[in-house]
Amino acid sequence: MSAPSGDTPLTAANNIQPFLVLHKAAASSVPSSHARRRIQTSQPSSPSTYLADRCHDAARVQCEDEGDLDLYEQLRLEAFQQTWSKIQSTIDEVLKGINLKLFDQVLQWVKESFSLVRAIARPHHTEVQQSYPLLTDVICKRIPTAFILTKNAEFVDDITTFRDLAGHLESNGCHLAKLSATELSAKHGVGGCFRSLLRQLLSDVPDVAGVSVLASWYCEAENYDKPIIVIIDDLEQCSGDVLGELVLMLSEWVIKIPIFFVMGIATTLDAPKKLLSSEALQRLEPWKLTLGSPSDRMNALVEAILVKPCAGFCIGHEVAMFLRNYFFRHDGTITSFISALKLACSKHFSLEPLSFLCVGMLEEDCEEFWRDKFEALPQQIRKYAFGFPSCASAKISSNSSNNIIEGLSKLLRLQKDWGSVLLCLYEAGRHDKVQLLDIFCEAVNPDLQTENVLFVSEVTCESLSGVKSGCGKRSITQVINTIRHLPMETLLHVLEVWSNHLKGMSEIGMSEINDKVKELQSTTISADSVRLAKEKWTRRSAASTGNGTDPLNEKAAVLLQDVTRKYLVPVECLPFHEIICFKNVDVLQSALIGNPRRMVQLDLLKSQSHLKCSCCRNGTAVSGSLHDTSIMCNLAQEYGDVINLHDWYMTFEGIINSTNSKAKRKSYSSPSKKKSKPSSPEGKAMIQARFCRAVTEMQITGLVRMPSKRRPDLVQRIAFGP
Amino acid sequence: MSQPVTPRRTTRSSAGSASDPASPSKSRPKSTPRRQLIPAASKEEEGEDERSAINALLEALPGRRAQASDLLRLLAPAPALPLLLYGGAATGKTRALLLALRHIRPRPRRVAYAALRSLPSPRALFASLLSQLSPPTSSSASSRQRVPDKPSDFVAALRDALASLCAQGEAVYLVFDNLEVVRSWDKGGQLLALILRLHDLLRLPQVVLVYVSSATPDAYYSMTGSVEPNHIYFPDYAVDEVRDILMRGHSNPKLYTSFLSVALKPLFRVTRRVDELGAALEPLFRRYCEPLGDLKAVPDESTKRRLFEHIQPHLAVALNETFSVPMRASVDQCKDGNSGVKASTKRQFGSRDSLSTELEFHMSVSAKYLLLSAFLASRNPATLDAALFDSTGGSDNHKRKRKSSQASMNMKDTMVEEMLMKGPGTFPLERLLAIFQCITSVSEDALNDVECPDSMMNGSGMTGLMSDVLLQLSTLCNSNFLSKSRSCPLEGAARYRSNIDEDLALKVARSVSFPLSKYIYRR
Repeated sequence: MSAPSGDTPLTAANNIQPFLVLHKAAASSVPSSHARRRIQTSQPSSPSTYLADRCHDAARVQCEDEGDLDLYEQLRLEAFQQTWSKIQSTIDEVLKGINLKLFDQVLQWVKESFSLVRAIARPHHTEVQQSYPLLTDVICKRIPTAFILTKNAEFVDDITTFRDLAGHLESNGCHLAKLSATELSAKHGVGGCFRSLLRQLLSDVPDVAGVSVLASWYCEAENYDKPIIVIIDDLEQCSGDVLGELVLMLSEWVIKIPIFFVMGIATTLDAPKKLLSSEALQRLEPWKLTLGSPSDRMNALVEAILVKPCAGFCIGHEVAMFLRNYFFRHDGTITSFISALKLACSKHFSLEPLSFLCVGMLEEDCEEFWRDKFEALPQQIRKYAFGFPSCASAKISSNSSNNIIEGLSKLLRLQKDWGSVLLCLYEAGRHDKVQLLDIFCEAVNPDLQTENVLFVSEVTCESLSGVKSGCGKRSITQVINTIRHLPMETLLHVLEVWSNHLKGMSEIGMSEINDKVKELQSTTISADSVRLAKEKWTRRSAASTGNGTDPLNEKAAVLLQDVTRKYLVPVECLPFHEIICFKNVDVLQSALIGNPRRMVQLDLLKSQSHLKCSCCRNGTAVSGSLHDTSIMCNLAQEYGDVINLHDWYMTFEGIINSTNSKAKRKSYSSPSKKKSKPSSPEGKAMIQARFCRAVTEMQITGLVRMPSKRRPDLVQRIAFGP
Repeated sequence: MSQPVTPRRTTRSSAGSASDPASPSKSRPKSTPRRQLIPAASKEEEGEDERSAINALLEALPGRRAQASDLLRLLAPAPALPLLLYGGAATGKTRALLLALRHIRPRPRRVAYAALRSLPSPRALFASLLSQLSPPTSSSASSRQRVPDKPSDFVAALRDALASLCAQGEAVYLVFDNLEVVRSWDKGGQLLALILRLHDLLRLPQVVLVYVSSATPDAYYSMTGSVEPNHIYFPDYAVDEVRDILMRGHSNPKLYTSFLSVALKPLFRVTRRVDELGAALEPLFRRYCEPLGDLKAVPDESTKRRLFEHIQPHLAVALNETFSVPMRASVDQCKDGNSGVKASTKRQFGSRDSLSTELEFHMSVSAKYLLLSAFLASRNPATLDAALFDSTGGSDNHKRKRKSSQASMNMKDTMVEEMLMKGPGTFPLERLLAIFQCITSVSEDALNDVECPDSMMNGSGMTGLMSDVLLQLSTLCNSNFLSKSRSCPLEGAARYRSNIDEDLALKVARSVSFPLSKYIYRR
């Protein structure tokens, strides 16, 4: 995964290896090039070695301007903070908006249930405090319960949701208590769980707590006539017995004290059925509510952060693919997606010297901002800016600041257009369940532009043969195909949304497109009104045969195709995109996934190159002056699944002894003098002790497993590969 | 009025000034006719009082005529023996008792009621009883009093409290409801013996002990040496009695009668508990009324037939669901769903399982594979792993088919049977990981098609999937899909067991298009 690269010196700020973080502070406090040179990292050898080289160049450029270095680092740090706070607030807003719908539903449910309970009986204060049940005509006492399906097996995302829900309900005049799975465990029992419920409601919980304490608290004037909501956010992890008992206990009192449950379910509605006894289930009056699925939330987030230029930071194709895969395959939580994005953002600002220009994207007068900043740049950095490969391919060679400003504004403009087109695509695609993240990943692919010619022909091909439409690789194609088969009402709606998306565009071409959309809309409406009845009939027949789509659908599809070809320019095809776009997927991956065991093994194997000591320079053979564990690890590489302990020990002893004898020959004055006689029992014991310690260390780091009883002379290797 | 403790005179005086809304429940029009009936009865002349009280009681307790008169007889002039009311759940024990206590002569001086279900510990029980018996003026202070820890202290404190009350000469009733709950408490046996022997321990003739339980007297009195109490048995309701109970307080009795004539009998075959029936019938009645515009209308024969046809499919569904939770969709979904009801009804009772072929919640792909491998590890015998997951990934099944003798076939059969009887088996982590690696390596090709070939995840192959398996494992354990046996975490010797059924496993497999059925061992 990573191999030591050349002796290129790096600044501490550019140092991205997680295990060298500790050195950072020291290096920045002593900003001498000497100190920096000592920190040699193993730069990941990546397919995109270009990027690493660029970083090194940048670092070199900066080295020459010692004084400016700190200033620019400071600038980048500020830019990062500004950008991320913007992104974070956008994320919060989006998630809040999604959740608010659910919260209002819950609140409405609470109000309805409360009025239902109150309709049964409206007990007086004295009646509430009596210990025996009210005599009402209600046959079954059931606790209104909202099951909230969080639709994600992973629970992390919903912690904040339930916290916000609690806040929302509390601010709308409910008493609130939260019970977690730890409180609803068999260890605490129903008593402990009820006590913690009381503790959240009452200021002073008496020594012996029954429901009557709650009743007398509820009768106090300021508490009366409000429902009590108990939120249990992770139902699956609760103990069914304890929860069942709690339900039975509270259900006896539900008319006197209106306690309602809100329970979060991560999996399916079967969960409460499996968990609770039928008696307890009978006492719940359930109501199902669903949270937006993770992919819905993801779509909303992608739209707000990545498609609409909210913070002037974007990600390249490979990074997008990585994030997508990480989300769908590994983790599936929004939380980790956001943290990965944050990591990408921070890496971008720490690696790219010009990244502080990103902030300009948000400024009112961005050109002015960029001019100010760029004029102040030293010559080296300017040269560096024009050395971007994107500039080279666009044949921008002159060194003037106008060029870069022009380039950046064009970039900004095209990004906006790109975003609008992408949203148009998504609007059409959502009727065929195409995920925005998929379209996004495809739309940032730099090969898209070059493929466009091919792509058009492929579309026609596919529409004829009608195969392979569901393939994830071609979601844009799929979207365009979807348009051809959209029913008329939906198409009208889509066209309306399109014109909204395209409205904001200042560019002449875009307004032209907008006109076309309008035209299409008007024809659709007129056509629609004229032959509505006929339409339906033909559409049905068209759908059944598969060929011969409606001409209007066809027109819309052609328009979309046209717009896509013209305006869906991936950011990586534009000059100066390196300033705002993060592309280094390897850095992100190693920072995210880590793989500690492998790193430990690698470090043990290559300890010479990390330590840089004088004694064990000679590369190939295992030298005895290495650390014991390192020797053992090197030796273990020669074995297969299992290592014969005896052989291992013998080779280890041999290596130690050979060094010792060498040391004796060179007459070093060292404590190893004692060990110079390999045959002496004392020396042997020492070697055995060292051997044992090394094996134990390897066991603790998870590289080997201790011998089993069946085969006491063999240890098992766990970590393989260099 | 639900105030049996208040002396009768106060009740009468409040009822006597008829316009005066003495209690809030009376002032509200919502309170049912029955609830007003009881104080109204007390308005009658003293001579007829007795009979009308019984009538009122019987009116309030349909189908409980014998039990009610027994209750009045056994409770009335301070009886010598404790009383035990027993019978199944939701047979009206508590209700009958509370109503009877309101009607007996002479009026009880004080009733202390302890529902053992709503008291989490013995100390809470002691505290609750003592605070109910102590004078009402100091009730707020008494909650701050020291609560006795030991049963013996409790008995002493109880006797003190009772003695002062009994000195005034009227009966005090101690009611223990849900007595069966105590048996499952920590040291419940001792407490139960104490409660049952209270009569012997207190030796106060004015104190009447009443126990209410869903377990029979044999469950309690076989082991203790205490006096056997009088007992009253509450049998399950018959179908007509249930109808009477359900009919009470309905705004349109004709409509409801026609509904019950259709729906009650089939459901009654499933459950006899009134509360369960009530809960099951309520949504059905709403469905039943759907085609009607006017809920006040009296249905004629043709309407009844139409309504019957409307309700029949839903009834069939409800019959299978009586013990499960009826779920209601949210308001929006209800509105959306109404249009689709007609289309989906047919599908609904045709094949309900096929309704949800899709996985309803999100899981990452690696978690899905891990779940599938756990399912396989639990279902298949470990000896078969080598055959199923060989180097070719189990794709050549024909290799394994070999002629086997009758004896070995028989042995296999018994083994399969045994496996089915045992349920899902347990497996160590290593086996899970091995299967996981096998099935992910097989389906790697399938995954490659889906994603772009230039994506970097392919570079590291499935090692990417393997990286955080332990995290996924804990996720699965948290969501109850896997259960983990407790053992030393460092040794890694914990064994797991998958709790999912085949339906869910198949759903998961379908969502990642993994040929699960190929790997399940069955004959």
